[in-house]
Amino acid sequence: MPTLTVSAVVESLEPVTVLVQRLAADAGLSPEAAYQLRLATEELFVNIVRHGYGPGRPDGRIVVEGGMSAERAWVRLTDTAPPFDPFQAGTPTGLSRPLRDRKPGELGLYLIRHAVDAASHEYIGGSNRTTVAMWRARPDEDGRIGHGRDDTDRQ
Amino acid sequence: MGFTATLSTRDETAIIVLNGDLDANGAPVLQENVDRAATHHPRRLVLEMSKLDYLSSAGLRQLIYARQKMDDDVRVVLVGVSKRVAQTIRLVGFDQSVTFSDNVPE
Repeated sequence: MPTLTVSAVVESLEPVTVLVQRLAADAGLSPEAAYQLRLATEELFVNIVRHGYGPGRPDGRIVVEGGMSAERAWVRLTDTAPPFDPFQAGTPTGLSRPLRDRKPGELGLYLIRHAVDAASHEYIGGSNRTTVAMWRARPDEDGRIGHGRDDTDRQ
Repeated sequence: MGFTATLSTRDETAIIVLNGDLDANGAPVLQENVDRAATHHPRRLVLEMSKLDYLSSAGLRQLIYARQKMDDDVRVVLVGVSKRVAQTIRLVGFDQSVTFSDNVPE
């Protein structure tokens, strides 16, 4: 099970992406599922860097683990920034507004919820543990099972 | 992995060719090219994306930046967008503010 501990800076994204791509290959994820797992991991990672620790915490660390079961492949990020559940974030407002009026906030967290099959967050012993998972095999292309808590706002 | 962008200008069109994976590390590279394109005051900004394999929210923010950096009457055209990248752009509703095209417009 690959594990990586990196500094909470955007530049650390590269080794994290390598870990995710290796996991996706080992788990035999489809190219689409691998893409979505990478996207969700980037959005979570960058969110912890920029908003979890923030610029005042260059000493922050993020532990990245990947793993799989018979059914799914998962990535877990652990950080000691203040408690934050990314899956409780609101849907960004103004999605139908023209680009020139847009504010860039919350897009990343919105993308995660549409990317992954399952997601969870827990705050234990001073750490955020955020996990995203993709099913390794799907019953059919349309059968997105266990999509998590955002089914209500899918378009 | 990795991202590069190449800017060229032709008449009143600025073309930026995007290549690779546009993630949080690649975003500043695109922003720099958008800034340089803006100094030419083009009538049209073309983002050539046929070699763009990946786009995260960092890339979406650059689309917002490009749209807001250009004058209001500048058309922003995305060329050769892959299915996955287009999916992300549509998910956040940006498809209303840009034009999708198969080819660089003449």
